[in-house]
Amino acid sequence: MKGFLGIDVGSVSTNIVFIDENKQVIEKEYTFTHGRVLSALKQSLNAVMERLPADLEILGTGVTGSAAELARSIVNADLYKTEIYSHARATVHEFPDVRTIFEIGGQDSKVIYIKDGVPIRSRMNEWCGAGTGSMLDAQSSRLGVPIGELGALAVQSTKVIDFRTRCGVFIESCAIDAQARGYSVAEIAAGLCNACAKNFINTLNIDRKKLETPIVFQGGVAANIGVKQALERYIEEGGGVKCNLLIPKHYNVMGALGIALAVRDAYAREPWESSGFRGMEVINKIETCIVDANTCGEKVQNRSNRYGDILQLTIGNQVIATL
Amino acid sequence: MTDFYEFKTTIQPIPAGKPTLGWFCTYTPVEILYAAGFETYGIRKSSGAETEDVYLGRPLCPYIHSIFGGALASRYSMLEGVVIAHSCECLRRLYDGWRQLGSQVTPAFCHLLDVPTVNTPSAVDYFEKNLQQLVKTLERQFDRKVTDEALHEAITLFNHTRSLLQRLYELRKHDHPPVTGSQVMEILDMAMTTDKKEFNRRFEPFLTRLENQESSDATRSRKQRLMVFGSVFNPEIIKFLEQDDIGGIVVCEDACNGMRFFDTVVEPTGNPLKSLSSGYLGKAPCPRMAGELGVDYLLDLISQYRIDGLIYYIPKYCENLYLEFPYVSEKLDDLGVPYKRLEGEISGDLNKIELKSFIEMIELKKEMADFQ
Repeated sequence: MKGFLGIDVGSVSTNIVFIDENKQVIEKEYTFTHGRVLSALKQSLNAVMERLPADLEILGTGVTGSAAELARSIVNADLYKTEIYSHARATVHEFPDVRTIFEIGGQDSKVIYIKDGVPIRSRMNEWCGAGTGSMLDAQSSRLGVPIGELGALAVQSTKVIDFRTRCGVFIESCAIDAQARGYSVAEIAAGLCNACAKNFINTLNIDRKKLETPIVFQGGVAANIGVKQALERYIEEGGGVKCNLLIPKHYNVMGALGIALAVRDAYAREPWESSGFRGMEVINKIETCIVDANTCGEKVQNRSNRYGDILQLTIGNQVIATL
Repeated sequence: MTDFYEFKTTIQPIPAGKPTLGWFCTYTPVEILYAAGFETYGIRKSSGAETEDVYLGRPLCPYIHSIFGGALASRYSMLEGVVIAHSCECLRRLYDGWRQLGSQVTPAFCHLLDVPTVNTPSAVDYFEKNLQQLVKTLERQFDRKVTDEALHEAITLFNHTRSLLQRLYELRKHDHPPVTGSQVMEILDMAMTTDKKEFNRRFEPFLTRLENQESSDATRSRKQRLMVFGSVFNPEIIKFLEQDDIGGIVVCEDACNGMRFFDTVVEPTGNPLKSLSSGYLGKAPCPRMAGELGVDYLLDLISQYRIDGLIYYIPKYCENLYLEFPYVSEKLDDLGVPYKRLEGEISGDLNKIELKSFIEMIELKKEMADFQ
């Protein structure tokens, strides 16, 4: 089997998608990064490879996500694109007439506006993570509710508490105040989902009146039905359309799918002889270490023209890449 | 381009001990300072001492914190004083802080110059009176005499600097700009912070060589032509966008640390203060000015420099830029010019993913590649 690997290393999860030459998703993997890019990447690559047939031929690999630079060196990827591009690419593939994309991930949130199948404008949360999965993560573990159940719990509540704040830390204070006043966990959960949705819309300055449908909602938080319903309600309250947010089949690995599709396109346009992919045998042996350039005796310049700490990828004593 | 580096090494900072006055806003008629016997030093970059400022409130822009922190940390000890133009509320509060903390800041002398926000005959008269006041203050404070003759001489000198820089920007309209945006930022920095006569003398032959040479780097024509719009923006933006693997070239900066420094010509004859007043108020209107003219000017630049994409950079808490954005973005939408709004500091790290994805979008728009 021939195909393409898409790798998205994000703050919270490391995602891998393998597609065949006909853009069909053959395998996907969603693993928590837990702060360890190298081991998460090895683990999820191995998991995907094990499930793929033995006659596998990787024609190309692509990387995206916040740790894309590191991941690119580890696998020696053929293509790098930003998360915004990758998410848009995957969504347009699944919903060709999409006009708006909401993406809520671990610490990132983005809105991408699409026209004629091409992204025309985007916005990311630059300074505030209150409208992202990390806020929900922190609060659900405080409530002792598994994050996967928070949304279902929230929609059971008939009352939605309006936490009047735009800060993730102060939301906790509000939630504690609510529990002290006797609200149930479900009601608090509904309040949290509502706060996430409102923060998302406000942080990204989304003009609800001008939103165009279809709107696709993706990223890890799209699994949360509470946030989905809160977004729909909040859009309508703000004078926007009454809409049903569409959730893609592969909602939590859209970045990886998008970059896999982008590699496939690049390959189809101008095929290369062989992919730079190092192969699992090599990748499994790679270690990383941070070297302080100032203690090396001489200044070492890395790829992004910065001086300071440099990262070396090594196999045994051999340095295979510096960045 | 080794020539650029050669040119760079010929430009020296103002020698220590030469009396110098600092300025912040491009609505400051620096000719007056020069005519009073001072070199002029434009403070347009981060002092690196932002955190020293624990006095002014947080909701002021990072440029102000950088200046005030720098003044508290003696980063401007080479200056005899500063002239603060009341061009926005943040600068006005900087003046308050400067006066309030007097003995703790260096240099101690500062003068507040009020600048009208409209360009009408009565505003020109009013601004001229403020300039007379500035002259009087300088004469009294430093025991000098500012003559009309010296003012005329200064106007001619600065007009020359401005015309050289305008010629430089003409070159950036070409398909293959002979200079990168990063190089232009360095040239502007030199023009604002070094001895003007020396700068003009050294820069003119370099500029002439640039004008006569065929493009040195044809690959520049394949890059996305970008413009930065803002007040004082983070120069790291340009460095990042012009990296080889990003694929942009910055060809215009409509910003306080960009072309607003030289976008006027002052009448070199007649009543010099009147000429300065009408010359400076007649500058291309920046977001601090009232009215719609600024947007027309921006749209004109976009077509002249054939801009593929615009970075709208807002230093955090810069109200003028926040409030101008909905209006500007609407016009850009009408025109179909891609833009990216970014907020941030005036130095240091950037949201690189936003910038890179913006270039990707411009490329996509151009190719209209089969995206499905």
